[in-house]
Amino acid sequence: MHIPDGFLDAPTALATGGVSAAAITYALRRVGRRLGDRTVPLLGLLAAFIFAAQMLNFPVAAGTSGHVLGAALACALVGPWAACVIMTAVLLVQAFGMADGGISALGANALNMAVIGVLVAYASLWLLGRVLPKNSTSYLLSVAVASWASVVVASAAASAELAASGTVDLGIALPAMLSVHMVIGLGEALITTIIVASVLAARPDLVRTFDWARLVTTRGRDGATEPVGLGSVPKPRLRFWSFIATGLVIAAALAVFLSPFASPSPDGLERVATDTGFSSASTDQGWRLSPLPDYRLPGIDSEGVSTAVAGLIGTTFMFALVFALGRWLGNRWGKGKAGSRRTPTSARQAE
Amino acid sequence: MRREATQPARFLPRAAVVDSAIHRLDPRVKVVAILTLILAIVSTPREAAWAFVAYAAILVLLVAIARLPLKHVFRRLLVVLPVIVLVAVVLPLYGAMRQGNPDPTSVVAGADLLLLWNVAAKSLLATLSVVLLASTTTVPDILSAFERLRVPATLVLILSFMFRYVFVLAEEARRMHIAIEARGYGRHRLGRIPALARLAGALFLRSHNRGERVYEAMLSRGFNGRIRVSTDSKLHLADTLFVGSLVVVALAIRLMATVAWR
Repeated sequence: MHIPDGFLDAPTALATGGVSAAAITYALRRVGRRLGDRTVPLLGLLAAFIFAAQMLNFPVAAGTSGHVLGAALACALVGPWAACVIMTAVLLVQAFGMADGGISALGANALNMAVIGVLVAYASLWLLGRVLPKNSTSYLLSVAVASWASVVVASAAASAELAASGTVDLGIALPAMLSVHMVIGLGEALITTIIVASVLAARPDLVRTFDWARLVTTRGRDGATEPVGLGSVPKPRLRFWSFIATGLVIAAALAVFLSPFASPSPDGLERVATDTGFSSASTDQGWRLSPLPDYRLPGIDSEGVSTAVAGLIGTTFMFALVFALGRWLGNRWGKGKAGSRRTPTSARQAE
Repeated sequence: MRREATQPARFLPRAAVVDSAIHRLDPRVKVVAILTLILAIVSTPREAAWAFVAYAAILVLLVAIARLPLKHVFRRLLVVLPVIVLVAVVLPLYGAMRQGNPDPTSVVAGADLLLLWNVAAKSLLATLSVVLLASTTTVPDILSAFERLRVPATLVLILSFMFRYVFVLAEEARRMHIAIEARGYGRHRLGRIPALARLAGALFLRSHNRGERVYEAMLSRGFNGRIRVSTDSKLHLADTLFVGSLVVVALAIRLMATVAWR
């Protein structure tokens, strides 16, 4: 999501640079007020941590690997303003040390990942913290949602900046970036949630956006308060299923609410087909045979509702398909490896 | 051991490997000159192709003077390639949608090719400038230049602490990763994800503890909230000449690209 040099025009670069400079100055002041003398060593170490965490390559599939962006991770662990500063430091090092992300686009990149990404994560955490029950399971759920949302919204901001510069049309950039980052965001959510969960299990007091007081509940007949503590950190199995459920709910909500707003004009290929005339060769007959002709359900009059329902069905179907495929492949790999598995212990026992 | 999960080598001060006239310049001078050059490159109108050739000539000359290994330069340049390829793939769609032109090939040949050229030339040249700066200047030098160029002091200090400890943390992560591998985690590819994520969680706790310890160590050595850095270095004649000539040439090219010789 790092925009290189040359992709933004001067007004966009200046405007984003101004906004992020203001936001970061404010963030530095807020952090300085809270941490005082500690600011420099603590944030320096935590910025180094985010940088090192980005170096961890997580295996994805077919030999590829990805890494976390870390905006939501930093926000959940250290709070929004410190996360703002930390992400800015990481972006500066990436831009000057690794030529990753342009110098003239630094303002835009900082705005997307250090300001918008972090603040969206914080807003999601805050909002879900008010709505959901006060325990660590729902906190981790909100971490998952927050990290997904921060990646997706940051990518939307990046495509808006590219479109404002006239580099790519918004009608192309936005759907492309959103669809890719909705998938990337799932990985980000999974990894961020496990990282936060492991910190929560060891030192819940260090997770800044987690209210430690939540764990102090009244227990027992005498009404004495005692920390529930580690007992309420959820089991991995439960977390997995709630993660899947949340993902499904979000995807479905997006499909329902966003699909009616999708571009009503024909997509690129259809347009070319209409213009060159080969679409007349394909008669309507062929389209009618598809279960969802033109992403619409037959028999529902309102166009918006119909598109939304079709989007919902499509999303659910895709979700089920991917999920089933994942389980099937997982089982296959598990079985394939099981026969040849020689853990160090079993090898030693064999000798 | 299997493939490394951590790659500390991606982020290294390679500056000290070679020595040259460019390496010896004052870091402030290099930062200012390179920033000016980048701003000139990025703001040059796309029609002035000759200007980009001129920028490229300047950069190649500087890379030659700095005697940077070409392999290293090219590897660093690859960072921007995916984005350019993405634009190249998206362009035909873009052109067809915007113009509604019946013939896709004529669309691509038109203004969109200019757009691709614009993006590719600017991003490659700007990245080359950054690579030149990063490969001839150590990170502490760049940071001291930042500080004297009035970047907020707190931010610069955070960056310098970050640079100081990122290698320590990367080494710590590498050791933990070896421990994970040695205990046979991650036979199943996806099974490695939770193990690696918990590694990152442990790394956070260790970073936090280390941050507190560093702070206490600083306090015990009389830290009172301010860090003083010596600011005694003066610009030499070579520094002044370098920054002066580069800024003048870059601005001249930029100006001529607008005024004449479109």
